Amino acid sequence: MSGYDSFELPEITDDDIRHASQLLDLPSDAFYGPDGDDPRQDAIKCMDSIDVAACPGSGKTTLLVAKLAILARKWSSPTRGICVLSHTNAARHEIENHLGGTSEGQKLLGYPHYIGTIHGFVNEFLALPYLRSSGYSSILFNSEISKQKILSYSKGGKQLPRYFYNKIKEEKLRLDAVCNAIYIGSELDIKISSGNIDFQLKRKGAKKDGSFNILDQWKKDILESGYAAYGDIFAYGQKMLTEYPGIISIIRGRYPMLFIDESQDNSNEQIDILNRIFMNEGSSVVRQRFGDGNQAIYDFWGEKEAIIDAFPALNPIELPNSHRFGQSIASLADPLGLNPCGLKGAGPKYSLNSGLCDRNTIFLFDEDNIGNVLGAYGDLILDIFSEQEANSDWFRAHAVGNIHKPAKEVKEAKFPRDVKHYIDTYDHELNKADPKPNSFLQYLSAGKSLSEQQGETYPMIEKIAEALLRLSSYSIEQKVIERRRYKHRYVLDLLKQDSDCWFREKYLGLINKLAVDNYIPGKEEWEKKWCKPIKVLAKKIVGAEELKAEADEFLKWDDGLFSSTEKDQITKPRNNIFLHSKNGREISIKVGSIHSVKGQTHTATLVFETFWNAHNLKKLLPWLSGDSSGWKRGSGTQQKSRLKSHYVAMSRPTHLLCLAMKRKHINDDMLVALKGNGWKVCEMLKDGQQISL
Amino acid sequence: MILTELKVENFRIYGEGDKSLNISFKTGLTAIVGENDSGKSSIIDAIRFALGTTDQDWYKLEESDFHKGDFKREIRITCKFENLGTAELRAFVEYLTYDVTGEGGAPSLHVNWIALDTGTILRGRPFRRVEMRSGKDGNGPTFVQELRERLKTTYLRPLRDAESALSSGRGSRLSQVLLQTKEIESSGVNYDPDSPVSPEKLGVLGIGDFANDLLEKQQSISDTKSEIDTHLGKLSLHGDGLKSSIKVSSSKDSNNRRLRQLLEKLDLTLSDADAHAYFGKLGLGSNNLLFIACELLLIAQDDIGCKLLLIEEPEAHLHTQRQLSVMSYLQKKAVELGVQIIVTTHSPNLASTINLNNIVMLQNGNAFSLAQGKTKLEMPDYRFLTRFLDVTKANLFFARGVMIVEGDAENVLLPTIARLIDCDFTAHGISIVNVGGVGLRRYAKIFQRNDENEEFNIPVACVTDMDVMPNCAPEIIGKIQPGSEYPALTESSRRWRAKRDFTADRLVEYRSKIDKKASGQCVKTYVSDEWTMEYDLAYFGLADEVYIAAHLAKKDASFAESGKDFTELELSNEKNVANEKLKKIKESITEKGFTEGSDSYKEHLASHVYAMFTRDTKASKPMAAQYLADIFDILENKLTEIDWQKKLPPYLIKAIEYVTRSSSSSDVKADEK
Repeated sequence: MSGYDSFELPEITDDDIRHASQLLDLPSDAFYGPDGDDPRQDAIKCMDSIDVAACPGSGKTTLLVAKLAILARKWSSPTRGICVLSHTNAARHEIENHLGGTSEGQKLLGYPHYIGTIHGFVNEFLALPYLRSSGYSSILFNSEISKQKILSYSKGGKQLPRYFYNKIKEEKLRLDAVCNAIYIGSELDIKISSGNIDFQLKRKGAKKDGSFNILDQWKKDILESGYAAYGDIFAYGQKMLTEYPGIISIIRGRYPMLFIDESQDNSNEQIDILNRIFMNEGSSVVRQRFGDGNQAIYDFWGEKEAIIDAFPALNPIELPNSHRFGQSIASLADPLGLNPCGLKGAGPKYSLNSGLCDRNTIFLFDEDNIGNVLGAYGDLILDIFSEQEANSDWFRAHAVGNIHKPAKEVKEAKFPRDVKHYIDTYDHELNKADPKPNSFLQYLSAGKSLSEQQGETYPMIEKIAEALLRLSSYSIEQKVIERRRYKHRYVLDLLKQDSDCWFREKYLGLINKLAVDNYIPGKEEWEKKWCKPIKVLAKKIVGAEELKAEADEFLKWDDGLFSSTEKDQITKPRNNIFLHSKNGREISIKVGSIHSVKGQTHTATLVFETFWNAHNLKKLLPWLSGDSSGWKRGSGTQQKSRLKSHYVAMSRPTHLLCLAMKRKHINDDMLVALKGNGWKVCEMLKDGQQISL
Repeated sequence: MILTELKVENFRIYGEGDKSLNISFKTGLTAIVGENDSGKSSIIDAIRFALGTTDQDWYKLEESDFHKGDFKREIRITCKFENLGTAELRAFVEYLTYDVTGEGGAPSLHVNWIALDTGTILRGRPFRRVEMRSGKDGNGPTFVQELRERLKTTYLRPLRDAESALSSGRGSRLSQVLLQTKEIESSGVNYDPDSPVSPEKLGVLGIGDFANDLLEKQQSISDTKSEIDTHLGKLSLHGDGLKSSIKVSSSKDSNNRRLRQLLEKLDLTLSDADAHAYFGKLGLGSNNLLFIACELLLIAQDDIGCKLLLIEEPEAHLHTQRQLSVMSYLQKKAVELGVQIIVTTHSPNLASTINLNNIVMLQNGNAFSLAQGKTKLEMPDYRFLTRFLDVTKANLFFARGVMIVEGDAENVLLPTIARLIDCDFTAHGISIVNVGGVGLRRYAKIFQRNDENEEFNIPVACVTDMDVMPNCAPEIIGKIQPGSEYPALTESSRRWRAKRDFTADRLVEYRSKIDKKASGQCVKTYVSDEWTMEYDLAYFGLADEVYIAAHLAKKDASFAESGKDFTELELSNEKNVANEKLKKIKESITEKGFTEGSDSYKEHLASHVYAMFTRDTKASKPMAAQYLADIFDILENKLTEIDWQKKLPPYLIKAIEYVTRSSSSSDVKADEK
C-alpha cells in the first residue's frame, strides 16, 4: 500500500499479528475470533484510509496498540513516521504501559513518530513554529495567566470596552468569559463564549478604538510578555497554515500515516484543522480513525450539529462484540447507545466460582438513607465475589456519577445532585490526574504522603513551595505567578532577587522544619505561631503588599488531616476510596465521575442518580426499562448527551452493573417494567437494612 | 542543506555584539584564510562543538574556551542552514523557522549550541550546561538524538594519521565507505558449493564463502584444524563436543555482519598504473589524499542532514604542486557531489589556487567573505583576478597592511624607504602587491565591502603616479624638439600631460579623479605629489642618488651583456663619472638663471634626472631602483630619520605611514576626520 508521496507503507501479515498478540500477552486468536471471521483482523491489516467503529469493551485500544506495535517493527524510514492523535494522552499512556519496555514501544514513542494530543500536535508543529518565526520567543499557553492579565489590564473589568460592559449588564455575560477571550481562525478573530452566549468579533473592519482592537491589543501585550491563552493554539495553527501553506506537504510527507483515536469526540474545530493539515486538497495521507459513535461525552450536538466529516464515515469496519461483559449487561447498556449496534456480550474474561447469575441491581433510596447506598452496593459485591476473587488483580469496584463537582447550595428538588451527596468525604479535585489541594495543610498532607511513599524529602519540599506560591497568588495586586516545573527552585529564584538573604533563610528554615525534621505543628501552634510568618514570606515571594481574604481561608487549620495526638499521626489518605467491610472482609470502591472512567474496564460499576437540568437516571427510565421508543421520537440535545455519558458508565463493568435511584421516581408500573427488563430492585430501609422488591 | 551563516559569541577570541563573529558560507568550497592566531581554528572548533563530528571524538569544553571579558559566561554558536531538500524539510519540520510574511520564502534551520558556565562546582568540576536548540533565537525545541546524528560534520584535523584510518581492522574507514555503496550487497552471486560458478561472478559474500571453502580443503590448514580439534577433545568435558573452525568470516553471523567482517579485512594501498609495483608504505601526503577522497564519498551518500566536510590546513603534508591539484579537485567535487567543504589555510600558495568567490578572510576577529556581492568587485574583476592573482600576490590575504604598487621599481624601493623612516614592512606584517602595471584598483577592491558597515580593518594603500609633468619637462626628456610648441591635446601622439594643460582647479580635480578610482573604506590611494616616483624622489631631495642609480643601471645593462659584474673599483669610478655629469647639468640650470633651491630649479634638475629613463639608452627603472636601494643602505647610518623625512616625497611617506600604523579602526577613523 502506498501513502502520501509514494511512501511505501508496510504490509501486515498473519505472522505479524501473531507476534503482536504475543508481545501484548493476548491469546493467539485475539484478533481472529474462534471462527476466524472476526473483523478485527481486517481492521488490523487494512492500510487504507478507514474508520473503525468500535463498541465498548471491544478492545479498540488494544487493537490500535497492536497495530502500532506491528507498524513500528516494520517501519523502515528513519525520518518519516506515524502520527497518532487523540484528545488526551491516553493513547500515549497505553503505549507506555503495554509496550514501554519493548523495542517497538521505544520506537513508537521516539523520533520520527508522534503520539500525543491534537492540541499538542498543532502546538508543536504549527502554533509554536509560527510564533517563533514571527519573533516571539518561547510562548507558554496558559489560560489562567492570560485571564489574570486581561483582568488586570481592564482594572478588574472596570475599564472594559463599553460593548462588553453592556453585555455583562444586560445579557449576563460573565466577566470571566471576556477575560477568557480566545483567537479563532487564521484571521485571528476573537471568540468569547460562556454558557449560552457565544459570539465572535471580527478583525476585518474592526474600528480603530473599538472593542476588538482594545481586546486584541491586550492579547498582543500578553503575547509580548510570553503568554497566550490555551485556546489560541488552534488559531495560530490556522494562521500558520494560511501564511505558509507549504508546511502542509512537508507535514504530510513527514507523517504519511495518521491515526486518530477516540475520534467520536472530535469537535468541528479539530476536524477542520486536522483535515486542513492532512486531508484537504492535493493528495492526502492514509488516515485511520478509531472510535465509538455511542460514547461521545463532549457535547457538540445541538445547534452546531452539522458536523463535517463526522465519525464514523460510511462503511466503517465495525467491531461489534464486546469482550468485556456478558450478555445481561450488554442488553441493559445497549439501548442507551445513540446508534445501538446490538452489543453482544462475549465476555467476561474471568468467570466466577459462584457462577454469576444476573444480579444487576437498582438501589432505591430516600433522602434519609442515601448514605447507605454505597454500603448496600458493597454488601452485594461481597456476596457475589469470593474472597479470592475480590483480592485478585483484575477486581475493580467503582461508583460513578455524571455530576461530581459539588454546588454550594442545592434545592431540595434537585437532591441528590452530585456524587458528594452519596459520600460526604468525596473530593472532586482528587479525580484529576494530579489532584489540587485546597489548603496549605492539604498540600503538606499530600507532600508528606508522597515523601513517605518514595522515601525522599523532595516531594514534600515541592509541595511546600507550591503551597507558598498558591498563597502568594492571593495578593491584592494580582501578581502573576508563572507555571514552573520546579517550584522550590522557582521560590528560591524569586527570593534571590532580594540582596538580603533573610527571607531565603526563613524559607529554608521552614522547609527544614517541615520536610527534614518532619515536624507538623498542632492546631494552636499553627494558628498562633505559623500562619503569620508564612503570610509574610508569601508576600515577599511576589513582592506584594497585602493578601486577600482567601489567603486566610487557605491557611485554615484542618482537623481531619493531622491529628493532634501523637499516637495516630498517620495522615488521612486523600483519595476517593470508600472502604466497605463486613464479616471481616474488606473491599474498596473507587468513587468518581463518569468522565474519569472513560475507557476503563471495571468488575462492578454503580451509577449514581445525579442532577443535570433534570435527574439523569429518571429521564433515562424508558431506556432502562426496555422501552426506548422515546429515543425515536427525537430527543433534545440534553437527552442525547445524557444518553451518551450513561452509556459510557453502564458499559464499564464486566460482571455487575448497579444503579442508585430515588424511590419516589419509581412507580409500581415502572418497577414491573424494570424487573421485566432484567434488573433486580432493592429498596433501602431506614435502619440500614434493605429489601428486595 | 547548506550551512549559510555562522555566528559565534563569547567563544575564545570572539566576544559579544560587535565583537562576535559572523560569517557566511556558500555552496561548494569555502576557504578561510588568515594569518596565524587569526581565529581560523576557533571557527572550525565552533562548528565542531555546535554540530558534532562523525568521528565520535568527544571534545571537552575548557575554561579557555570562554571569552575573557565582562560578558555573560555563555558561549552561543548558531548555525543557519538553508536550501533544505524535501526529505530534509520533513525530517526537521518541527524545528524549522518559517517565512510567515506570506512571501513564501523557504524555511531555514537554525542550530543553536549554548554552553553556560553556571559558576557552580559539581563534584570538583565547574558545571557547564550545554544545550542544542533550534529556532532563530534559540527558542525552538532541542534536537532529538536521531537528528543530532544527521547534523554531524566530518572533520579532518591537520596532520591526521591517515594511514591507520585506511588500514584494515575493526570499524575501518574503508569498510564503512564500501558498505555505504549501494552495489556492495547487490552485485554478484552467492557461492554455492554444489553448483559452482566462475569466481569472477561471485559477490563479496560469495568470495568470502568460496575462500572459506578453499581454506577448509587446504591440506595444511585442515591438518592444523584437526590437530586443534584433538586437543579440544581432550580438554573439553564429556559431551561438550567443541570443534574449531578456520574461516575468513564466521558463517553463523548475519549477512550484514559477515559482509562487514570481510570488508574490514581489506587494506587500501596505492600501486602504479600497471598494478605491478607496490609502493609499500605511503607518504602521509598520499594517504591524506586518499582519505579525503574516501570521506567525500561517504558524505555524498546521505540525502538528509549536514553534508559538511571540515579540513584544517590541507597544506600539511602536501607539496606545492599537489596542493594545487587537491584544491582544484575539492572545488570541483564539492559542487559535483553537493557537499559543502570548509578548509582553513595560512598558505598563500593554497589561497592563490582558490576562486576568490570561495574565500573568507579572517582579520582581527572579523570574517570577510570575498564572494561576489559582498565586495565592490564586479564580475569582470573576478575573472581578471582569477587569472592574475598568483602566489606572489596571495600574501595579501594574510597581511596586516597592504601596499599595492604599479611596478617593480616601487616593489623594490618601498620596503627600503619604509625602513629608513622606521616603518619596517616585515615587522609590521605588510604585504606589498606588485600589480605589474595593470589592475591596481581591482586588487584594492578586494578590500572594499558592499556593506559599508562591515569595513576591513586592514590599511590598504595604493601608490600610483600623477603623471603630469612640469612645463619644462617635455623638452628636457625629449617629448618635443627644443624651442618648439606642445602639440595640441587632441593630437593622437600627445599621450602626455604637462601642468600648463590644466588650470589650478582642474589640476586638483584631476588628482582627485585618480584618487577616487581606488579609495574608500580602508583603501586609500596615494598619488605622487608631482609626476612619477623617480621624478618625485629627485624633486624632493634625492636628485643625486637617483641620477647615480640611473647611471649605474645603464652601465649595468652593458656590463651584463659582456657577462661581467661591477667590481668595487668600477662601481666607485662610475659613481664619480655620474657625479661629474650631474655637476654639469646643475651648472647649465643655474646658467639659465634659475636659483638653486627654487621650485623651477628643482623642476629642471629632476626633469634632467628623469630624462635618464627616457632618452637614449634608457635606464631600466627596476634596475635603477635596485641601485638606489643599495645607495640608501649606505646612507642609512649617515642620515637621521628626520633627514629622510625631509628628502623623501611626502606621498610615499604618507602611504607608508598609513599601512604601518597599528591597525586599529579608531586610528583609521580619526585620520579620516
